[in-house]
Amino acid sequence: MSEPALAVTDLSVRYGAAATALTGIDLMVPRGEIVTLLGPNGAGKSTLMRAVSGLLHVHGGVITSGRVELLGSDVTSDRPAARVRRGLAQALEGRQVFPDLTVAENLAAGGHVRRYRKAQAREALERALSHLPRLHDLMDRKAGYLSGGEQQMLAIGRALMSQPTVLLLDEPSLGLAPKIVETVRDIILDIRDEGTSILLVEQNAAMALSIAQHGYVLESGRIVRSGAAADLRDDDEIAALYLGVSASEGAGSHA
Amino acid sequence: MTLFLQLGFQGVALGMVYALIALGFVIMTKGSNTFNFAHGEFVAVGAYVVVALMPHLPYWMAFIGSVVVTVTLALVAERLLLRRLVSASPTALILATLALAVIVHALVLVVWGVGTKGSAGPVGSGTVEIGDVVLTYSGIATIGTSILVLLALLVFFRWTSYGLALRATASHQEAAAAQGIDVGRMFALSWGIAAALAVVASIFLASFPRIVSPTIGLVALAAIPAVVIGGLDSFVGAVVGGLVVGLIQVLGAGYLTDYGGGRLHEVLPYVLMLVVLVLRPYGLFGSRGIERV
Amino acid sequence: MTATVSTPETTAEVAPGFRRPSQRRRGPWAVAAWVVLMLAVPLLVSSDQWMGVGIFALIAAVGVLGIQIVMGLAGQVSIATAAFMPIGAYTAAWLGVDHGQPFWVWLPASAVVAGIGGALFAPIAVRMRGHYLGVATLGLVFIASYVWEVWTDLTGGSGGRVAAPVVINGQDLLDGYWSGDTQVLTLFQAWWYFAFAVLLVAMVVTWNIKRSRLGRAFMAVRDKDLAAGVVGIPVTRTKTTAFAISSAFAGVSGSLLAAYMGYVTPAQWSLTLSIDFIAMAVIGGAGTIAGALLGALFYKAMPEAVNWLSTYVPFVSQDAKVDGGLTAPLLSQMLFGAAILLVLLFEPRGLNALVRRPFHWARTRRERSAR
Ligand SMILES: Nc1ncnc2c1ncn2[C@@H]1O[C@H](COP(=O)(O)OP(=O)(O)OP(=O)(O)O)[C@@H](O)[C@H]1O
Ligand SMILES: [Mg+2]
Repeated sequence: MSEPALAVTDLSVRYGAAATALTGIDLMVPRGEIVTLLGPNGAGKSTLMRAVSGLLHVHGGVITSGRVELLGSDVTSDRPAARVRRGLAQALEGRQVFPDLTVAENLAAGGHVRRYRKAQAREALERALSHLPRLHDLMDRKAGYLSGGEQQMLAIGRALMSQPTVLLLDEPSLGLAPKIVETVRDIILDIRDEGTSILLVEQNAAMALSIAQHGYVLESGRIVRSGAAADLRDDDEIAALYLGVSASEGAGSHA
Repeated sequence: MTLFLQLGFQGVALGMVYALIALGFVIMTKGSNTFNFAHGEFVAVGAYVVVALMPHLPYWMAFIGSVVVTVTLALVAERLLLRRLVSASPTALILATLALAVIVHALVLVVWGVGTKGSAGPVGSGTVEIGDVVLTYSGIATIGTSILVLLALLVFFRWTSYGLALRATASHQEAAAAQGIDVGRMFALSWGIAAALAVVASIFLASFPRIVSPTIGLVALAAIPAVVIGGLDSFVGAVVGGLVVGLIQVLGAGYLTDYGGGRLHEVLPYVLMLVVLVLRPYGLFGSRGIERV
Repeated sequence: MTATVSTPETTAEVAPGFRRPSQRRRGPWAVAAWVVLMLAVPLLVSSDQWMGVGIFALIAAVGVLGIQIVMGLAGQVSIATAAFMPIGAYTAAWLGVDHGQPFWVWLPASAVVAGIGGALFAPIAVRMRGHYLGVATLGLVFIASYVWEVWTDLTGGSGGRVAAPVVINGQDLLDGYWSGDTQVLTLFQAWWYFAFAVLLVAMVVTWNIKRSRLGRAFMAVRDKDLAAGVVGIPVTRTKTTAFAISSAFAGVSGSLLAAYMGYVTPAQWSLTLSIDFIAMAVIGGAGTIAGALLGALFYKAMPEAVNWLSTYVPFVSQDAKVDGGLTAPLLSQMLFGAAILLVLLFEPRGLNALVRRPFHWARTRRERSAR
């Protein structure tokens, strides 16, 4: 039980022949914690998510060095399905629901990998919905017609259907109204409290740092800062870059 | 009126055959992003293998044997060819399946020659009469079997985990992969199902009064207007389109013999297809998608 | 799926089979040497059979150039070549035979009428892309071949009709070229030069299109279909032009083919013909002018080679058999299909690139050692 939920060691990734997207990344998600990964557009956050989940090849990317360990086992060259079976799930950037499937079918597809029997499927569904009550009334709606916030909840719910130990969330607050961001934040905490470890990619640093224990800052494919979330929150430079306050105003003003 | 009912019955029977072939096209297009122009030749292979096995085995075993052969062929083609061209342009994919059609067609002729064979149907040439309308056994068998197959497909896609996974893959490939759905396996599954449907269609396409001949692959291509009329990505559209094409062909053959050299019914589906493409490029039941501007 | 934005360099990977033509300029000397070589072919090749293959290849190459333009440059899938070639062939027959016009009337006319045909189809075509477009053009072939069969006044029905002759100085080229009582050129030599002249014109036209604004507009439509309109390129007009030019080329190829064979039947304009032409374009190297001729040559020469070989291979018979067996035509069909697949899988730039590879390799070596 001592090994971390997720450990990335010396990971480098490139797309195509030339473009190096990640260089020598070291990152760790301890069990039962929320770790956040911050960084500007194009820093390589989604690339890191893809490397962890095994979807790099879809985008023409390859791992050139390094290791990804999930719950103590090396999964660097495992296929996505194998990783999901080991307990990894994710909500992709931009939600990416199955637009022409209903909400219920979207959720069921999330559990496909577990080969649930009927009772198990119902139990998984109930657990997922306990975090996302909003979805209850939308079960028969086509996912493509949901609002952005509803789609985000569906994306998270779909990921929960495989009952993951480690959950990857890529910018869940993207494009959502502040009110909904609050809801999503509470949902994430809720899921963490159930014992799930979470790697949270965010541009909304204020929200992310307010719920994470640890944070990493990625810039141009390299980790440039890391530390306890509280320290990062109090850091002038980070505040200036990501929290929308100027360095002179000081940090922590959002709290 | 009798003639109309008579032709209508035959048209529906032929239309169901086209519907099964059209469904194969739709399933492959949705499941693997490839419009497989070689599908007509899969139908040909299905019919020839049944006819080849019929003298040696009970009919149902000949049928199963043909399904095994044809599905294997489809899976091999999918694996060796399509899987390696996943990121290729539509042009390259179209050309690859056309080339596949050329090769399979030549193989069929190498194995079975250019001569015609007998009927591949499960029933003989018997008929029943309802009033003045004569219903052939083969027509009844075609309609009955097709309805059963359609119901089975409905159950598969609606209520099984693999059916759902296949639809999810068709809906959003990367998201499906992210849920741990093996996308490659779904490609293969879609080709396998399409090939199995091709065999079912083939025995009825070569049922009394029709027989197995080298042009059967080309005849099967008449399902293409059916697919386009219904919409490339719609299951319902494939069935409706199939029925429309079957009825046009049979009614046209019955009523339009005095016009256009007596062959007008052969091109009418294609004309209707172009009309639909102009008015509704995504077909009657299809969804507006990225493939169409 | 998330579409990756393709930079010019990555376009080739996104669309195997159709790459951006190389920007490198070949020296005028190489072109001149090639022309001289082509002119010398009739003197070097004594076999009538192989000269026939060569002439067929020259004629086909004109149509392949048309495909290079619509598919290679403008990126539009078209399986409709077999619908536009006969428009040219029957225009030529109508003018050349029924109205006694000379070839310099019917040949350009076949281009114009077929081009108009392509432009008329364009309103349907511009609304579609990819698989839908392929399927629509396929429908056109079926409809066209039906029209030829029932329009018996023009086409002679399934029995066919006499095609327009190429008459120069009162001499039908199918009789060779005579000066008084001595034959200056055999039928094959005369036709080689005539077909080569037409192909040269087609090549020059293609070359100019590629370098013109229009050519760049084609490529913009191909690479960024939807975005092209945004950057000020009239997408509909550009695609219509591409279809019109491409079918004009097909029309010329069709009228030449009919003229060379002397006879034309509706059955020869089948779907297979379309597939063959696309395949020639891809095998040769889509989007390249030299590839058009290479692909056509490969396509026409292979059956002959297989036929010739089959006399030495025991189990390959010469003609079709009712109850199966490997025959020379079937074997060449399979090899042809296999060639397409091999090109798509392993050398999307086609024979042209394959032929060039040793030169390219030699040059890079030279450049490297020069450093
Ligand atoms: N498929 C691809 N092919 C080539 N380069 C890519 C590809 N996907 C991403 N990149 C490049 O890799 C780098 C990292 O991209 P990535 O999407 O991981 O950034 P990100 O941090 O997630 O940005 P954002 O906050 O905008 O989502 C960028 O420079 C991007 O251009
Ligand atoms: Mg991102």
